[in-house]
Amino acid sequence: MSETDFDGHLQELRRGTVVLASLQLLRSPGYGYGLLEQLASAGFPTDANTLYPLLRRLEKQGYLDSEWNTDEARPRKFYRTSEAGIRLAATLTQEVAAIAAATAALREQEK
Amino acid sequence: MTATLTERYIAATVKSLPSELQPEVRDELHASIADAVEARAEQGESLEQAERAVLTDLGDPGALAAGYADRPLHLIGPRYFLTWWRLLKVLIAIVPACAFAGIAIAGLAIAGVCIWDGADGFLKARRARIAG
Repeated sequence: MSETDFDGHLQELRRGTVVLASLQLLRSPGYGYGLLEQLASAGFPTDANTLYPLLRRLEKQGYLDSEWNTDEARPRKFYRTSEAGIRLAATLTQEVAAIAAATAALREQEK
Repeated sequence: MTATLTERYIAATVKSLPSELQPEVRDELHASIADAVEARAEQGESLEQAERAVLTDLGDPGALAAGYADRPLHLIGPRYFLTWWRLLKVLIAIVPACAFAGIAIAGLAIAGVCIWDGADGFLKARRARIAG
């Protein structure tokens, strides 16, 4: 069993956590590429072609607000987590904690 | 020259999106790609190399567009796949049989007409001989 055999399962497990991490990080406004870097250094490495459409989707669903910043030479679209997004992030965080606890309990039973 | 590669990539991505979505996605992609190219260039890559690498990482523009438009990359999703599969199997059983039956009926009809014509001609000839 090489590590690459696990890739599919790992990806599946991590998929939803990118949403959670993005919602948390965007409590302070951020833009596409900047968020990509933030996610990577926070331990949630994400592909650009996954993140950019995801941001649009979350905005459409009302979990992110957006605003164009044209003050700098390069105009960028800034996203910020909305009220609904903050609630979603809280729910997802609870869920992750519940899953972690349940997983730990499974390992306790082994002993 | 370096600008055109990005331009072409963005154009290819945006063209299949709904028109009201296009300007926004175009501008945002422009900024995101420029940011990423800049970051790579700061690591010492040439602009051209960096641009190529960034666009390669972004992958097929069609797939990216599908992500933006929330469009699935398959014709028949899991919801309808089994129904479609069962229907296909039924059709594969029925359609050729119907086609063969149709061809056979048509063939018999044509043969019938030929026999009738032949018999008709034979009788006419005999009648003519008797009369003569």
